[in-house]
Amino acid sequence: MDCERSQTAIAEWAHGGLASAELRAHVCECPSCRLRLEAERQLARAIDRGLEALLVDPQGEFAARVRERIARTAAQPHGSTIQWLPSVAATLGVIALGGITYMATPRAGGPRSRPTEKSGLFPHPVLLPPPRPPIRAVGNTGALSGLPQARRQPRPSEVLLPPGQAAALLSFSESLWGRRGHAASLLKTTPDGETDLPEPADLTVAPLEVKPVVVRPLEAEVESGDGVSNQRSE
Amino acid sequence: VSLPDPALHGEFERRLADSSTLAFRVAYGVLRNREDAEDVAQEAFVKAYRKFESLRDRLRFRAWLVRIAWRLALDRQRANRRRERRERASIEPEPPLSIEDAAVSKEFQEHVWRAIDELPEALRVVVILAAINGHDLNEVGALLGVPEGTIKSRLHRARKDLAERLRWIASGPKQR
Repeated sequence: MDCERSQTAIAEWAHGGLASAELRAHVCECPSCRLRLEAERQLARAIDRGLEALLVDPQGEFAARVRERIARTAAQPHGSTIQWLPSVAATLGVIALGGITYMATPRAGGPRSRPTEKSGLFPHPVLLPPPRPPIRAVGNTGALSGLPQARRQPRPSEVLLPPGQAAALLSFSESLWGRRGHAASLLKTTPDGETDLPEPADLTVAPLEVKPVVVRPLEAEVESGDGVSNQRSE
Repeated sequence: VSLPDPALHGEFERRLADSSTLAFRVAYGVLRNREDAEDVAQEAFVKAYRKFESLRDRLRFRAWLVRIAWRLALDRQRANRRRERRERASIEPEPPLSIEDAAVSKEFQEHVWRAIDELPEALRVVVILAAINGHDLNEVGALLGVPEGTIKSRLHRARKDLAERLRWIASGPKQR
């Protein structure tokens, strides 16, 4: 065995490995390998000394201190968790409330999701068509025009009219929709002398002139027309 | 948290008396600081106390405790290193030690610790447990749930690895 080959084997031997008879013989004969073996053994002892420093005992009444700590912990079982519970619950509540509000709020201009009864608080989103614009009554003419008023629309204010115009309007409304009672509740005549509206000088309405219209039967025109019209009527 | 059964409580007391040094040494083997080791060992016992009722095989208490203490100590070591790195960043670096200084026993000890810390975990735990158990490899095998032959093999690999890392110090500056 030469010195180069013995290097690895010497390290193995020094650190607890086995040594072959050939290696032992070589080390006995070779001074440099003997020195190498001694150096490795010194290193092994140094490592042992380093590891011996781990043999440290706890100071004093270690077991008593452990008991004290266990008792301290037992007095506040999972204290930190309990302290955090209200905050966590409040945060989750706010998040859930915000989510419900967000999902229940209608948003114009796009599809929206809304919780359904079956799916609970956080269901899968359901696509709904965009909302229609609400029906609005324009001005105070809702009752008079006979259109149904929007549910949240406030009751229209009373209409202040001069005495002559109110009677004419009521008569007109009744003739159109037959809802005299409703229209009458909305109309209010002005007290005498408090209106700036000009009083009509003459309420008499000129009678309609009815001119007789000559209605000729269609066949008569066809007979007097060209051949094309005649063919179409047939 | 407290054990409901007085007999169970008494059994834990016996385990505590029997294993307190072991838990402390395991923690010290990782941390090399008395205060930290004491704190980690206490924490390991608190955890063990909480779960003692659910431990099926109470004869394995020591192995179980070693595992708890080992994990807690590694966590503490990582936290300490992060803190040290932060503190070191704000301090000017110290001049490197000369080889002569490093050859002094205390400095060499530091190198041994560093080399142990750099070992793979499977080898590191074997080295430390073998050292604190007086190289009783049968006991180390029982603590880790590994056959004694495997422990012997791992210990040999670990020592060779340590020697590789520390040889340059023992042989002087020429071979560095």
